[in-house]
Amino acid sequence: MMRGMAVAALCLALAGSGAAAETVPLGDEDTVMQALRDELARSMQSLKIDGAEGPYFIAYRVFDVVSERANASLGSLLNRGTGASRQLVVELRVGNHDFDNSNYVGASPSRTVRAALPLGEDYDALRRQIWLATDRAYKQAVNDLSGKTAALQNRTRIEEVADFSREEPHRYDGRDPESIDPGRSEEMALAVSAAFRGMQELSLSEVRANAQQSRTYFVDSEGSTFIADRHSVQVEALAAVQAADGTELQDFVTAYGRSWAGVPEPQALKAQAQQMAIRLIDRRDAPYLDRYTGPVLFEGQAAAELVNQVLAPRLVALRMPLVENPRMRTMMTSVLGNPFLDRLNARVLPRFLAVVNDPTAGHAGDDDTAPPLVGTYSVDDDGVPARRVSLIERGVLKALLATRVPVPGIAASTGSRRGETPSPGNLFVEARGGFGKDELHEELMLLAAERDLDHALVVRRIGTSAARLAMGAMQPDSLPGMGGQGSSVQPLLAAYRVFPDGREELIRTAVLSGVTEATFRDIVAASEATTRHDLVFFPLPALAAMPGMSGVVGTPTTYSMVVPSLLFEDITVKRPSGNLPQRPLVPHPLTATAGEDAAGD
Amino acid sequence: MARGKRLFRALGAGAVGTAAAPSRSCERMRARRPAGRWRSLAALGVAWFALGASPDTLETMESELRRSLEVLAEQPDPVYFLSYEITEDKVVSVYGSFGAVGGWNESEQRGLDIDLRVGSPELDNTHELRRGGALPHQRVRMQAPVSDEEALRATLWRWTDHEYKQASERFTQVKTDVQVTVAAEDPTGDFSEHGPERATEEHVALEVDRAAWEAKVRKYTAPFRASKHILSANALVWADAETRWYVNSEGSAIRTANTFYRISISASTRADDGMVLPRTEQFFALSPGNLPPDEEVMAAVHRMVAELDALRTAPLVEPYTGPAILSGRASGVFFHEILGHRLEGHRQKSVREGQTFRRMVGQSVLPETFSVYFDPTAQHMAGTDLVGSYRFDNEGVKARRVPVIENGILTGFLMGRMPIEGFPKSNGHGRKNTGFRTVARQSNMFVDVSEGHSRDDLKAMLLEAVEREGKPWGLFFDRIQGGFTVTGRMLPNSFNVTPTVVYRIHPDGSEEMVRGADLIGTPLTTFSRIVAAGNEPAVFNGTCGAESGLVPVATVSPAILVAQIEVQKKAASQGRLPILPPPGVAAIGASR
Repeated sequence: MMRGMAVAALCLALAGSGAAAETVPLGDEDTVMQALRDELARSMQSLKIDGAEGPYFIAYRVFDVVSERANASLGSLLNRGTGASRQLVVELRVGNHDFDNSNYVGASPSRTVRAALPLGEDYDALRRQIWLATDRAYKQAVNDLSGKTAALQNRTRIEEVADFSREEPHRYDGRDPESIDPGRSEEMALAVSAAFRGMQELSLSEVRANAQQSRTYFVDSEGSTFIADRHSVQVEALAAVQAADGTELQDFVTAYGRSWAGVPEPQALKAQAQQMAIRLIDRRDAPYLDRYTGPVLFEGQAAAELVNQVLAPRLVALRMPLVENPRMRTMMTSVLGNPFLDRLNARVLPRFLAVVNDPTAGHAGDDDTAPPLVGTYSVDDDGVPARRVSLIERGVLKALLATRVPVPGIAASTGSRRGETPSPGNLFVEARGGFGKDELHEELMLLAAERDLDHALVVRRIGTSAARLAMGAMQPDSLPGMGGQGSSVQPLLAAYRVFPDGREELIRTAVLSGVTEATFRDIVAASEATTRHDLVFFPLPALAAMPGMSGVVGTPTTYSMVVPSLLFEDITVKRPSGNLPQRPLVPHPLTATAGEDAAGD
Repeated sequence: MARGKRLFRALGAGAVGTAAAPSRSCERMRARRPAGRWRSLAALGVAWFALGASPDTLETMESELRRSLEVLAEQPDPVYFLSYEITEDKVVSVYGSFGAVGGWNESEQRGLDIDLRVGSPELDNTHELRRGGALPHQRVRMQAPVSDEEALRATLWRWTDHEYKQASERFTQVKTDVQVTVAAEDPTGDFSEHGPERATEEHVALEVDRAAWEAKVRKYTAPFRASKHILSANALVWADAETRWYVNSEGSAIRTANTFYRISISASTRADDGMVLPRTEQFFALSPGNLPPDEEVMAAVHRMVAELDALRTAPLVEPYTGPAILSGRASGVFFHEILGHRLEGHRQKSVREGQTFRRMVGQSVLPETFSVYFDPTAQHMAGTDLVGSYRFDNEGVKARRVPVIENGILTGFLMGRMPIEGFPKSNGHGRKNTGFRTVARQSNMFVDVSEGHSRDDLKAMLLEAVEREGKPWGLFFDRIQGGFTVTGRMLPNSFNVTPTVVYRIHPDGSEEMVRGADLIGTPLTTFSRIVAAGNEPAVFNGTCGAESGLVPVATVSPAILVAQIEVQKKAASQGRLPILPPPGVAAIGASR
């Protein structure tokens, strides 16, 4: 009886994206979907405490995940794991779209309601867990709404921003018959980590490989629903050396894909890792750069990471909640503050640059043979269809990526919810009238000459937050120097002095100083050619490394960026500050077996 | 995977423990009747567990240790002791609730622990700073590969360097601290020497048939579906094959291999007043054949369902003092918390500890019919495996039987390698979980009573006491879920154990289930009120959390009669029962 009603209610609301199945709800044959729909219908109809309202919105998300991971060092396994789980996340709202229980952090902040659902097809067991989780979510929502109402009783709200946007219902079936090959993580970790064997110069190395085969079920009370398979694989190879003066240098190779076919073969990654280690060993003996202010050209990965770490976090709309605790309010205000919220329709880049986010793009450019972009999706985690969004046009900020949680000036979703927060899908940085390679270098040298500098700087690699986090766990006592002075950019891993005769000189280690989103307005030129990079996005990079902040910082997501080389007129680069750790007293074991003098390197 | 794993950690080996110095909390489980067979485990062992590590692991560790020492022992602050311990855990678990499987995990990891000491046994880097505190107990997570010599050597090398830098830095602080503070009350050194031990055990593979385990999880949790008041009902079947490689600079080289198997079932309901009422049953074994047969587990499940149902409507207990019986199950937890933790050697030395028993050696602490000893070499008791058993502790010291109370008189403490006044040597109780620093911990505790009484006699004695003192009733603590005790000086030196099944015993002998009572008290007063014991020892296997992490422990103890105990009201949640009735699953589900 109740199930029949649920079906009817959903059919009325279904948008016409499905083909023949419009009178049948998505995944009708699927027990999980059935259980979700039936409990959703029952809860919307009957869940109510005397003296309080019932929910006006419920969304269920179920993450069905089979995952595996393996870490290895020097071709030998450190650990591995594999498992299966099915988790339900309940989003339940009481009140109305304009004012509800959300965007509020009370004295004892609410946690997202999660429950482990049974694997398999046991309808009764599924319903039971969904029922209990919904009950918890409802009680929490009623409590939050009353706390929030009380907190606002004696205050006048200056900005009336709705709590939840209204969106057209949408349905999507993204089931994918492909699955992830089991066992490849271990094979990959073992093969790639063997790249570092015999390299006594390395103070440490580790390779982490993991894969998730994930199916997401989504159903909400407004008629949106989807089933989407979103598989992912990651490989990270990390290595470190210590220079004679104690400086610790690190580098990494990463590969992200939606299947093992989307990342290079183990032997190819192993070769990349070997090259990385050789670069790292070269940097050990490279000269320092004490301080440099002048033109800097960011090429390839460095351009992509610079955009990822500085500009991209400003392109997402994060809502500042109403926070009861004053200390927490101060902290969250400083962390969530985004200067770009005040710069809509203002210039944030030079006129020749544009930025587009397009999760619907499958490949970079017209090349169908390249590995597919990793930020591609059809429907976001609110069930809102993905779309191409022009964020910056002719240097002017036009939009921010948003979920259904509005912020001042942004009322509707752009279909950008990935995990808890908005994140880029595939980001395209486009330059009008871009320079050829030689032209760009000429321009760089001209700018240097204007300042009477005998050389300029080119940066080809920048560290990442993900690698820093991984490395931090392996090297607890040495944190690589941060940029400091308002810059949250990770250290430069491949920076070169470039001389007028074209000669290049590698720099041992350096950091950017004072680079912020405002610096991007001073880009003077960009290349015509673009390169594609796969990155990890941290919505709040400054907080990503802090423990216990995962709820606030949002979920790190992988995405692809297509970016030209970017030439900045005026950037300060300097040597990282801080004390240097001593070299080990005991020589590396390989040195000892080879009978060589350890102090000689 | 990660999500499900986290959920069940709460029940599993990584259970939430209190590692804060002054209080420890222990999860406890019930006794088990003599073991049965687990027939369904046949030939379907998981293949990857059969892979052993390189046989040269110990040799590689020893040679790398010697190589490092050649340099580090010659430094101005020399390294005088170095040990490496690698603990490999291969774990399989299956979990589920309400008759369905919720997930599974298979994992293997190899944790590395290094004990590197700078200075001398009299004074080294581990010395407690009187201004600034003890060494942090939890350490950096180190991992080591064991299948390859180059990889293992490189890993040991770089972590040894890390540990040396930490140790020499702290040793400088220690020397200053000793100079600027008053002389220590306990003048003994920081470390005791021990002769070399050498032993090698063969690897043990897990016997896991995941499909059979899934069937068990479904079977064990299905009966809870029938009750509409049961709000959670989970089962976990878990196994761990643990291999430890230990070498030290005294010439010890030890490889041990063990397996642990566990079935854990937990369920909870809520009374109308909001009180959450939990029940847990756990079964431990050192080999799969010693796990109980399904009939035994199912009997426990049905008992849980009935007890939860009865508890929901049981009357609330008001604060009370008076006579009580603790069942064998309950007294095990009681002795573990309030006696066992206070016999851990390092607590007699730390200036932050209450040192309850430090000056009581040779004095009476329990009735003279009571003797207590710890015996990690005992593996079974009445057909039940004891999980607190081991052959070598985490400091390379051979396990042995240690009497601590003889005929009521305190005779000794549980010792790791940190000496205390009057007890200069380890007795094989230096224990820890991977990633923690070793301290003295309990193993298998045996409470031996020379004059035991039958259950009926104990009950008669209780009723006499009730009448004598004019009390309206006595209490019977049948099951205790866990507890904690404070051994430090900054807070009252008390204990709190949390019973789940308690009965009022009325003067006419009738028994009535009650809820909401926590058993509280202070140790010395409570010991002095133990008046009699039962004659049927019960076994408790559990996991104990303290400074050095979670370690498996067991107690073997009879029921006891205490002349006066105190109960306080349990903290209760104000939450209410679910608003909607359970989904009409019976009707809808029938068609599927």
